Amino acid sequence: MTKKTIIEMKALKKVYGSAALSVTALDGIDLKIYENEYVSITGPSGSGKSTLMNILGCLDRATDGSYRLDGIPVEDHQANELAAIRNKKIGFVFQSFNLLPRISALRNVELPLIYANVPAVERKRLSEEALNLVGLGERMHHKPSELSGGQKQRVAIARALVTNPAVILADEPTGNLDSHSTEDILQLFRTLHQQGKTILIVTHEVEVANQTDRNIEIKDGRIVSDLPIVQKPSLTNTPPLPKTSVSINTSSSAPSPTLEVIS
Amino acid sequence: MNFLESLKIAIASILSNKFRSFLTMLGLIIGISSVVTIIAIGNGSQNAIEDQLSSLGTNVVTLQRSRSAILTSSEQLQLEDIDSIKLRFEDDIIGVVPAMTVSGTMMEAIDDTGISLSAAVENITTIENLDLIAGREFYAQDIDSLKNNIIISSDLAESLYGSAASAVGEKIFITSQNNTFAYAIIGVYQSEETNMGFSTETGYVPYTAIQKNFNIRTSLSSIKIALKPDVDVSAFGDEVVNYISAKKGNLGEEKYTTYSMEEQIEMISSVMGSITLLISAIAAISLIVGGIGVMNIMLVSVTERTREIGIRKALGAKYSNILMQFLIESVVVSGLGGIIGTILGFAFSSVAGNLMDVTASVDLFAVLFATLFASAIGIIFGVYPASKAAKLDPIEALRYE
Ligand SMILES: Nc1ncnc2c1ncn2[C@@H]1O[C@H](COP(=O)(O)OP(=O)(O)O)[C@@H](O)[C@H]1O
Ligand SMILES: [Mg+2]
Repeated sequence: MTKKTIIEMKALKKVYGSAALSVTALDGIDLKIYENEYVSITGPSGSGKSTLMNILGCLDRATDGSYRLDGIPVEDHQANELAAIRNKKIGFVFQSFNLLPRISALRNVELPLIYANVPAVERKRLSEEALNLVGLGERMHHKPSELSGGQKQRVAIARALVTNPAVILADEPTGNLDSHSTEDILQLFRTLHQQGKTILIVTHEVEVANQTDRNIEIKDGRIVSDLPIVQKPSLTNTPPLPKTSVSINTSSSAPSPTLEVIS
Repeated sequence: MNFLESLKIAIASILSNKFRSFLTMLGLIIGISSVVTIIAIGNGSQNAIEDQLSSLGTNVVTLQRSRSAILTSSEQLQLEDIDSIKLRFEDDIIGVVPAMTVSGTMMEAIDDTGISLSAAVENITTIENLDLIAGREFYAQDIDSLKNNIIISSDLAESLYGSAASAVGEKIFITSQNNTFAYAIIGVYQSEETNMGFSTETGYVPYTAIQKNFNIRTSLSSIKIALKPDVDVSAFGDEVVNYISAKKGNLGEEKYTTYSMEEQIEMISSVMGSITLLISAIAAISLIVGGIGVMNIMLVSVTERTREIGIRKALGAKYSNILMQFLIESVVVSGLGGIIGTILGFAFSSVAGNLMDVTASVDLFAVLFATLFASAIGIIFGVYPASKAAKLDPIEALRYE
């Protein structure tokens, strides 16, 4: 059973600045992510997570190495072509939601479809469908200011889903949420994953990473570990347990009834 | 993304900040409304002047001595010259009238109202561009028979006899130079509404009768020549000057000249035109200032919406999408300012027209031009902010607080 490769990075490097004052943010990343994987990327501050995310999201380009997204060699493309690739292949979920404040949830979800030249009627239908899927069908005509943090993030997820992208990239998606909403959103990601979506989450919270199926840790621009996480089947359909009971890569003394790290 | 979507986004953005959008437009509103008003009033006054002048007859050439020329007695214009001009230019001429005016007072009028008697020839109403509303025109036999017939104005007819029709056939006694003569009213012409100020009553009497009654033997100060409609007034003027100079034996000395209403109107039109143009040019400067206002606000808008631009780019907006969004916004704001300015311009010019007693004439071309100009300003002054927005780096834009 061979799965389709969605992301393939080889010896990827990113250097900021020029010669004398250069900072190597990514130093030879080799990475393969397959269809329907649910992956988290963790690492200390300054390790290069955001840089990696920007390149994965085709918002920025690598200094060296290769990156294929859904079979497309990204490094060959100009800014306008990258915009089209982002539009078709990537669904972004941001820490600060990044919804447009003056328009309704529905119009926010429609945005990527507008840039994909989808006709208005079809656009509305797809967006309503996506909002229903994230459980916000009732509130689609509300403006972001009329929604809670968790609800805003659901709108953002609907917006990321609506184009049926190859991968959903979420940068600290729970960073601005309370613990209850965090569980909600992680449950939603889990459900989407079960429906076949490929999801990549950048996070510094171990609890969040533990909810994914594979954790990649980076440090100083290099991948230092890449490990699968086994979710107990009995718990995958229920909300995650309290944070204190979840951990990865921590000492065996911590009680870990739900997860096991397989080395 | 199609144009309609860009337009919707632009309108939503304008509406979401109504007061600021209004301030942005204000400069253009003021500029456009003043241009429209100035042009409307300018055209209106020009039309009014032209109307009044052309009511005096455009196809009339007056032949007279040049301003600086000194004429010997044989060089003076004489009555005989009328007949020879008539004969020589038979095909071009409707009539030739000697300048001969006598002022007098009417016995019938309670307050000794003055009247001036003007020399008439046959077809005088056509020559003088008068509208005959009762009675008849002068015929050749009126002139030849030296009859004391008169054509008077409707104002005078009404004040003396109640109506134009009842005046015809009546006699009017006019005293001039200590002689009183009775004149039979044969016709009444419509008095002109005039706001050119002065207006004296004029009665038309055959020149032969004037000459006989007042024993006029002197030469003529000028000769009025009414031309057929298709005759070129200035070319005819040159010809008649040459003819009369040759006749008087002073060809090439430029002792005679002609003037015509047509030439006067052309001159006034061109003066009025340059004045209007000059004031419009000053008003146009206010449009440029308005354009700078548009650019300023658009730049603020781009900065304020940096994050929005970042989001849109992350979601797949291309350079052209963002450029169009902001360009359309700037054009819509400017065009709207242009339209509001034009409407205000209409209002101002009708108010100003009322005050100045001028029928403001709003030139459709000026309106179209003003609106297009405002939109063009939107493009010219919107390009820089819009391209600044479109060039933003999505990562930096998303990071912008
Ligand atoms: N635009 C930039 N210019 C220069 N250096 C940068 C830039 N962005 C990030 N860096 C540097 O690259 C390294 C990785 O940063 P980043 O990817 O933001 O890490 P993380 O998101 O894991 O905190 C850091 O040393 C940071 O200072
Ligand atoms: Mg970061």
